[in-house]
Amino acid sequence: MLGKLIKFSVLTLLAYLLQVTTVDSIALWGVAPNIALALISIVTVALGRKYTFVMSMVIGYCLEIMVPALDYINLILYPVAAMLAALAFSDKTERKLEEERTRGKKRLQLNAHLRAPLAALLSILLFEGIHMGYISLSGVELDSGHWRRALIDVGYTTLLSAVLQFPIRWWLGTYKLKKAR
Amino acid sequence: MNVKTPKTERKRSSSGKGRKVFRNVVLWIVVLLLLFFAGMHLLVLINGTDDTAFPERGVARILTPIQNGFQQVVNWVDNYFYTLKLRSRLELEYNTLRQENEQLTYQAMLTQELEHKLSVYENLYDDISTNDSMNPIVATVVGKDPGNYFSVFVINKGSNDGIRDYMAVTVDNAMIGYTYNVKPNSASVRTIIDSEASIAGLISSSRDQGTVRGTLGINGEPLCRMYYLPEDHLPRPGDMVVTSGVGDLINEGGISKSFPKGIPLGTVRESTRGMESNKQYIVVEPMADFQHIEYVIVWRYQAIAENVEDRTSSGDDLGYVPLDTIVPVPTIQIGSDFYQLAPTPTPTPEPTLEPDASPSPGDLMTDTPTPQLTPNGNLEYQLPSGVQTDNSFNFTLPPTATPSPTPEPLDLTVEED
Repeated sequence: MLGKLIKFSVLTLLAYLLQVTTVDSIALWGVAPNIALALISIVTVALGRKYTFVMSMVIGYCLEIMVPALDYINLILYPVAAMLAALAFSDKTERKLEEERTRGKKRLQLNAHLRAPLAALLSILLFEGIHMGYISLSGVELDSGHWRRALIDVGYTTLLSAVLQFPIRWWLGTYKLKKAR
Repeated sequence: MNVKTPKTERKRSSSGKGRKVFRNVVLWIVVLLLLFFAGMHLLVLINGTDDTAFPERGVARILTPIQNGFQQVVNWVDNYFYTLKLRSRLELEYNTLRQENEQLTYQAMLTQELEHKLSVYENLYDDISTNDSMNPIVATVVGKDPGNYFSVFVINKGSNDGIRDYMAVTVDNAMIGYTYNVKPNSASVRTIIDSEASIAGLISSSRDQGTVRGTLGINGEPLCRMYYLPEDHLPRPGDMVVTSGVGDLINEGGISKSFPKGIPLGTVRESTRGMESNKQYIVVEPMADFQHIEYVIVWRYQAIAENVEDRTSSGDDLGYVPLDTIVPVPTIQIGSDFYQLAPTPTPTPEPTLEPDASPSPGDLMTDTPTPQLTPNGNLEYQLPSGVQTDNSFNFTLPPTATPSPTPEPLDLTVEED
């Protein structure tokens, strides 16, 4: 029990530290990915919505007080984006699954390995969209460079979550869980 | 039918439920804490006061050292990978530059070789174009005799190219030898420093003629000696020795051993005469560089013996029978010098007017003109009447310039202050 909490805490701290220290080193064509959102989306699929909220809240709060670029934005945007992705791509509850089963739906939910990058895609799209909107409302005319950078960021973050989910899920012990009958 | 749940499963389910509750409690506490912290932070942002900033200060105090340590690790890893990348890039660039350097070195060598070839070809072309009538041909040296006593080499042109024995071979405006042992596709060249070589030469300044022979077989030096010079004349050091155009006549095929006149052989090294078996000689230093011969020019011109007109005579006639003569010795122009001794083209004389009747001295003496003083103070000779100057001496004196009046002397008086 404590192991899971400790692993979750370490993963949260690692996500924050990687986001504030490493992203510049792994930038592609000058565009840094959002490691924090990639890891949050992995946690969304692997551990569920509660952990997603806590992790996104902690990361947003730490980023807000340690690297404040804009007031409120990290504190609000990380939990909002993460919870939106969790709403769409986290494991469905037993009640929801039962409802869909009774409705005769064949495919109940997507494979977890597919849902993690999709969750990252959704959250980073929201994240980038809000940033672009903020920039546009600030009076900056958006050009192809902005769109190009945003697209690279979206693709890179999605790719990171797709790649990193395997070691993180293995480390969290997700592959050891028995399937529910 | 009631199935009793085993004790262990009951225990596990109860402990699992407890764990879940505990985990939820912890999570709720964390969430509440986070909300509290976030609220305090919002208050800080809204109020602009630090009264409620104590939670974020505490978090920052904890996070800062962790972040610093992590940053150092990241920097170390980053530097490590950067070094690796730099090293691989440096190695790549080093290899690329090395290849480029090798290519450039090769190109430089090629360029140098081509430059050398070009200069050689330019010299050859100059010689050939200047003396085109001598039927020159360029040949490449394809073999050399490495011996110490003879100096011969082989060229890649032979009788198929019109080369015969005893044709002059030059390089860089200097004679280096003559052909012999000609084969269809190659020919040997005996250089002038070979002691077997014997060429008729003359000293260009004094026109003294002699025979030039090589000394390689005599004392091992790549020099020449000139024999049979007149004893009454002393050559000066530096005097040019050229071919004299005089040579033997070989009847077989009518081939002459004489070479075109005027090809430089060398320069007189010193005027002191040496003595070799009762023969006096002077040392001649060859002009050609015998160590670096690559291309040569073979002058295919040879004086062919031909019959003089009306040579045919009856056998009973014991009259004058003209001997075989060779055609006039050709001259060759090499460099800036133009050696042309025979046949010298005689300029066409301009027709001169012959006097119709030469006047006798008496006529001239009788009518001696008397000078008369002209109004401007000059003396003027008047010819006697009836005498025409054009027919008298067939020339007229050019008019002399009229002297200009002497200018007035300048006033050079100096006024005293």
